[in-house]
Amino acid sequence: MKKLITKKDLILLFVVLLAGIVGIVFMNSADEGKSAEIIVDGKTTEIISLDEAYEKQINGVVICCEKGEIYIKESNCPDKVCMRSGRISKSGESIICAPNRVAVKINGKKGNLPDAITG
Amino acid sequence: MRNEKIKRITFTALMTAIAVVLSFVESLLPTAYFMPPGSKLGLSNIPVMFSASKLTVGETLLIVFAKSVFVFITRGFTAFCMSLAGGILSALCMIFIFRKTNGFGYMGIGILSALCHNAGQLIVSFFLVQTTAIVGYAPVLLIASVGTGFLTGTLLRLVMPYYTKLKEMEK
Repeated sequence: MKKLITKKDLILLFVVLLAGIVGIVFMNSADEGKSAEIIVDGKTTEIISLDEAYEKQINGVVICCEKGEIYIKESNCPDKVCMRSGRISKSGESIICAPNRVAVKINGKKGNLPDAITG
Repeated sequence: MRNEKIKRITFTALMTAIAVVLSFVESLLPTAYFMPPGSKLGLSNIPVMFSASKLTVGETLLIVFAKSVFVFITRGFTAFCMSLAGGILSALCMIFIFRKTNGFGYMGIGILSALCHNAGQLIVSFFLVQTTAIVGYAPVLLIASVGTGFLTGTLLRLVMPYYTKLKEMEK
């Protein structure tokens, strides 16, 4: 019978936790975004400014923007992962609704350079 | 010989039933509201982990597939793809760990399994949404994997003697 917790398990636990924490700190250290890309089926269909209020239904997802933050107000998908993703405002952050093939991604100052932030 | 085969089928069906019931029970728990978006407790992974250690590769994958079909019926096509991709990836990972490695305990197996499940889901969402923006979900999922993996691994350790007893009954 195997043990419940071994040395290898603890190493794994710390490595995974560390990777997660580094990722979160990295994402939180990003600047406030300027614009957001709305991506439907892998194609950018719209770029909106975070300074302006916005509300639009796309593919069953209601995307809202207010006070520089983007969130999903309503969605017809079963799991509502997108709605539970909360409000995003920093460059590099994103909300995905996989069942509806919709993604919103925040960009930094340059506007349309998605990989400059995540890369 | 024929008898042996029937017993194997019965046991595989039993594990599938447990996985489906746990999946359903989990959907009733209010925990989903506290979990980070995209992650689940993964209770149904417990019988799959057991299968990976004691049943054949084919039987284990069959359980994963049957479980995904249940997900398809209750939660739709996208959830089905994610469940299947995550399930297969994590089942193969567990089969490898149980058979080819030494040194990982139940907690480590649970964490690795949860990691693989989340990785499979992210890969599927990458293909569905076709944007690299999905990586934004990765850090939180990594941390969630540690928690859910610890839980499922510990629970597997607890039920292991009972499952093993059930399995022995076929002899």
